[in-house]
Parts: sequence; structure tokens; C-alpha cells
Amino acid sequence: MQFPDIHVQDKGHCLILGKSGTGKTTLLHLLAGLLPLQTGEIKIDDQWVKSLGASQLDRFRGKKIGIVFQKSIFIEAISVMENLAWAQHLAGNPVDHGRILLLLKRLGVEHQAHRLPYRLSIGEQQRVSIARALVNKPSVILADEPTSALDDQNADAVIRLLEEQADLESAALILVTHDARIKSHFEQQIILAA
Amino acid sequence: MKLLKLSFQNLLHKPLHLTLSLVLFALGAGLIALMVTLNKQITQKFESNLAGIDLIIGAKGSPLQLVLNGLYHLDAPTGNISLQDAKPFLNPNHPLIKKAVPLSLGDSYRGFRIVGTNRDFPELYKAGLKEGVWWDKPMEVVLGSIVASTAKLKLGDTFISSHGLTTDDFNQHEHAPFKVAGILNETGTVCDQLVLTSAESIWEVHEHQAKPALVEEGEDKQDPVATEETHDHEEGEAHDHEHENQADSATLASREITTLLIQFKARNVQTLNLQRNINQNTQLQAATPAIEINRLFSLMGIGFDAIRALAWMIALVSGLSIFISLYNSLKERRQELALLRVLGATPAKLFALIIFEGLIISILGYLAGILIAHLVMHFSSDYLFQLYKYRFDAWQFIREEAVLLLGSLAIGAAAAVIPAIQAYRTDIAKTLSD
Repeated sequence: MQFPDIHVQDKGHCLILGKSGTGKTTLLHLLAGLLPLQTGEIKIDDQWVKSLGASQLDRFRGKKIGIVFQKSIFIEAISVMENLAWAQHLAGNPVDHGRILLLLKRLGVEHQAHRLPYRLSIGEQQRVSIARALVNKPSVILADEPTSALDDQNADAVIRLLEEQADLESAALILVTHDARIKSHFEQQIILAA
Repeated sequence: MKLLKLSFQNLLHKPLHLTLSLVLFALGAGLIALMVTLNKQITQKFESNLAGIDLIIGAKGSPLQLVLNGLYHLDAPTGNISLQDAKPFLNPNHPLIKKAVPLSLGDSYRGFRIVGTNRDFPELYKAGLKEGVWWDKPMEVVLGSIVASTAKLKLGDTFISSHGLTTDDFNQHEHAPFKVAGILNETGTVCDQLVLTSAESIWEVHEHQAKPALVEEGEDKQDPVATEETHDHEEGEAHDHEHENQADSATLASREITTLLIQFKARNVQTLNLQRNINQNTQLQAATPAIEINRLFSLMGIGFDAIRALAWMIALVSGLSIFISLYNSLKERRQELALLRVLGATPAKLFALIIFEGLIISILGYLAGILIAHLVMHFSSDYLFQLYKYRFDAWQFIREEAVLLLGSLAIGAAAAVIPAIQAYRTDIAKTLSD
């Protein structure tokens, strides 16, 4: 697969649009360091991703990249709060309950902090996912099809929320989707073709 | 530590899986622990009760029965032997025999056997007096420590014995009460469970009794009056004038004892010949306790082995159940594991997470099993007491239980290793795009 060069500034928002089969998810996984690059280079926060060893990369990903999946995934057995604490811990950061509560509050799910994640509504789960992506003050937030299951109104709200939160944390936002409805939000757009 | 906690939380999240695995594991570990502990304690008790006895002489019959009755006070006697037959072995100048202790059995008090003997007997078990004095006159007794505590008898108390070796209220020797002269220290041997007295006491009890129509288990000593005191050096002749007067008319043959416990000066060909000689050429039977007890253990051992094999099978099945439940939960948790990787966990951490889950189940299962085994011992101690006539120490922990812990950990780790390898190999990109 071939991808064009992409450059996103701090606080920059980039939309990667493509129909299924155009390698959207592969690109996202490459950007997240979940798949090895065959050719080309990825640089995040002045760090060439290729030069990192396997466990360095794991930690780098935890610290610098926040990912919001299409479908919310959590550690089922522990509370929302503990899920976010684990995200901090695994990234090698000290657990900061104050920051976790702050983020949950900003996203309007503070009252669910001590519940098990799968007890929450889908919308709430997505908000917790966004909070988790932000918890380590990442340089980049990658969002994979965050709106595909939502109606127009909610899709709009989620995009605005992502942009707003990324800006508050001074992180670049890269959104991968086939959802043409959200085109209008983004100035920087890359369209993938098969 | 955080990882261990997460493993625990993951397990708690599936309480039914956890319970099933734990119950199975506890059952296996508990059964094994119970078997080993019982086996160990029984063996220990039997061995400590050998008391250096090289040979037991008694009436013809089963040699095992002779040993069980004479040394362990478990089985019924094979019968009695006449004092005359026993006399050669009681000769203090016997070339082979260091010590020969006669026992007269047949009566009991509340299930505790009354043993007519001499003071060599408590010496065999290194039992000293805790309070009081040794028996002196006929009908004076010295109680083993368990007898004193169980029957709540004190110095100076009197009691009436029952005929036969079991509790039987209809068959008491009401005319002849025993008097407690002394109480022995606890020895941890069968001696704790016996009422010791002079052989004369036993004879006296039965001499006053009319000849019963029923001969009970061959241990009746309802013979007419006779006196032979060779076997009991402690017996003061002055105390027994009546018997002395009758001694002339009595014959040795009319007095009986049940068994003779014999210690040799040394074990050699001559002692082997002595045993063979007794068995071939006399009406007596001689048995070697160590050999008979080994025979018994090898018989019992088959049962123990079968139960232990069963217990190991349960342990293996429980290992399998841990494997299946981890394997299944892993299928459900593939995305969760991928998430952990995305959040920065190394593959090794995921491996450890799953191994910990297996180990936690096995450790908890082991602890529950050990607890169950000892609780079973604790609550069945009365039953075991009746069965084996020994108090088991329910809370004695043995080295084998530490070995069992290692075995449990091995099973837990083995059950978890395949799921853990799968977790280690989680393909994040593939799992997340499914």
C-alpha cells in the first residue's frame, strides 16, 4: 500500500477519508506503531518511530499517542477510574487521580468514575475512551471511525468534542473515517483511493 | 504488584469460573493433604508404639492380630496362654531375652483397656508418674494421661471395670472396684490410653466372678484361685495372704496371661530360631511386630495409594478446568489484551498477567484444600479416635504439604502457560481490526 506524505502540526486537525479497502485502518495502525513500517518514515514529537526498540515503542505509544477506537474497549473487570489509571501506569506515568477526574468531568462522565465500564451507555463509553486517549497528555490523538455508529447530530457532537479536547491538550488530531458527513469540519483532508 | 492485583480483579470478575476452579482445586489438594497427613500420623503412631519390642508371644492365631492386640491394643486377643507356658521366657537369666513383660487383658473401663502387668511396661513407653504412686496392692491402678482426662478420674477415685474390651454396662464387675493410685505423664503412645495395674488385680476381678456360660473372645480369666508372682516383681506378697495360702494347691497352669512383650539382648540367628521354635513346637505363637506392621502398612497402603491416585486425578482435572476457563476467558478478552498492548504493556506483561491468574487459583485452591483437610481431621477426630484408638493431631503440618504447594503451583502455572503464550503473541493490529 502507498500513502501520501502527511504532516500535522501541534493542535492541527487532519481528516483521512477513504472507502473501505483503501487502507485506512492500516495507516492508523502504522501511525500508532502497531504495525511495522516496510518503507517510509514516521516522526512523532521529533522522534523517529523506526528507531525505537519493541518495548521502547510500547512505552512511547502509551505516552505520546492516544487512540480512540471505533468500538470502545476497556479492561472489563475494573472501574472507569481504574481503567484510566492503568493507562497512566502502562505509559510509565505516575497515577494521577486528580487529572483523571478532571478529564472525566470535562467529558461529563465524572459521575460514572467508579462504575464498571460496560455498565455505561455507548455514548458514555465513547466519552471515557476519549478521556483515556487524553490522560497521558499525548502529542497525537488517533481516532478510528468514531462517528460511524452515530446519527448526524451525535456525530457532529463527538467530532466537536474531539477537536475541543485535543486543542485543550495541545495535541494533534488525526481522524480516520469513511464518514463523509464530517468532511466540513476539517481544513486538512487527505483522501485515500484504492 | 499492580499486575497481580489486576489478575485477581480479572478472576473476581468471573466469580463462577473462579468458584468452579477453586472448588476442584481445593478438593484435589485437600484430599491429597488428608491422605498424606493421616498416613504419616498413623505410621508415626505405629512406629512410636513399637517401643523396642522384638517379639510378641501369645496364643495361636493370626500373627497380625497378636501384634495389634498386644502392642497396639486395637484388635481382640488371640486367646490366653497359661503362665506355665510363659514361665521360661520370664526367667531373668534367659540367655537371649533382655526383658519380658507379661500382659493380662480382658477388662476395660469406658472403652479404655485395663492391662495387668508389671512396672517394666510403663518403662517401655518411658512413661513416668505425673502424680500419685505406682500400683502396689491389687486393685490399685495407674491411669494413662488420656484415660485420666477423658474419664475425669482423680487420685483416690474408684471405678468399676467392665468385662470385655468394649463399653458394656450389663457386664460389670461390681464387686471389685479399682482405685486410682497414680496418673502417668503424656507419652504420645498407646500407654496414654491404658489403665495399668498388677496382673493380680485382673485375676482377682475374675476369681470373684462365677464361671460365665459364655466364653468371650477367649480372654476370660475365670480360673480358680492360683498364685504365680514370678511375672510381677512389684507384687508385695504381704498384701496377698489369701492368695498365698491357696498357692500350694494351685498350679501354674491354671493362671493365664494374654501376651508377653519381649526385648532381646541382641537380634541374631538364635533369636530367629527361638521364634521359629515357639511357632513350631509349642502351643504358643511368636510374632515380630515390625514385620507384621509392615505387612499391615502394605495392605493399607493399597487403599491409600488408590485414594491418592484419585486425588491427583482430581488435581489434574482441576488443572484442566483452570486451563479451559483461562483459555475461554482469553478468547473473550482478546481485545482487552490488545488494548493493554496499545496502552503500553509489553508482551511479557500480558504473559505474566495470565500466569498470575493460574497461580492465584492454584495458591488459593491449595490453601482452601489444606484448611479443609485439617478441618476434616479436627472434626472427625472423635471418629478417628474410635477407629484407631489414637488422638490425631489435626493441626500438625508436615513437609509433604510444602511439597504439595510446589505441586499445586506447578499445576497452576502449567494450566496457564498456553493461554499466557497466546496472550504474549497477541497480534494487536489484527485483533483491533476484527
